Amino acid sequence: MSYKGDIIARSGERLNDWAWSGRLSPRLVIAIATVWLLIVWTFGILIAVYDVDFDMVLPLTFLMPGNVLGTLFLGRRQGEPPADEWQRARRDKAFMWGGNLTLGLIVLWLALTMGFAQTPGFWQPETQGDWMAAFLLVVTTWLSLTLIAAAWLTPSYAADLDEDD
Amino acid sequence: MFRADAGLSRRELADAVGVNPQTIGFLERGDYKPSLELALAIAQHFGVAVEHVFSFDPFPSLSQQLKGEGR
Repeated sequence: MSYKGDIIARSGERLNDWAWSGRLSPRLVIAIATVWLLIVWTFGILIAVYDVDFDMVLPLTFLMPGNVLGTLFLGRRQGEPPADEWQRARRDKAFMWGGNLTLGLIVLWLALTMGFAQTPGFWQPETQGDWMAAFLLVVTTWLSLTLIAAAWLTPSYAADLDEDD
Repeated sequence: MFRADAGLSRRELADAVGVNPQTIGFLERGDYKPSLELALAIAQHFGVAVEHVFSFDPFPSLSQQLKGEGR
């Protein structure tokens, strides 16, 4: 019997395939990515406002590899032919939206940081945990917005087109 | 129309022109504008000029064509 990879990798691959072929409803993908983004932002705000220890957020970081892989491959599995022009266009547009929106938020945050530098209580990363939390927020925002954009660009009837007619 | 006439499935046409079957579906529904390369490949596959397969204006439906011929 040939080795087919471990069950987690295969499940992730299948989920990835379903998401980007439209078999998993694009609306559901948008909902999942939004909930994920909100959870991470909630923890980020807790760290900033209530000075929560970063170790409490650490479990979230273990979920990041799946998020990264899901986004970067955008449905393309190893051994499959290269993405065609529509798939490449969707991936490029999704990364453009995700990247530009995140960059805009970072610029806004930097501007606020400079503007409120003298204001006590304005959160700025200082400790190692703060910087890790900021990194987690930026990466999650970037990847989640990219996932949302990619799902938005996937027509809801995409799954029906998989049937060979 | 050309695909149906040729009795091809989406997957067969997609394999012939080197794209995903979904992309053929998006093209047929008018939700995607193909690259010049893909448009020419599809036209070449059916042996017709590219303007017979793709147009700026939507092609008339079969019923509209039949009505037109009936007049």
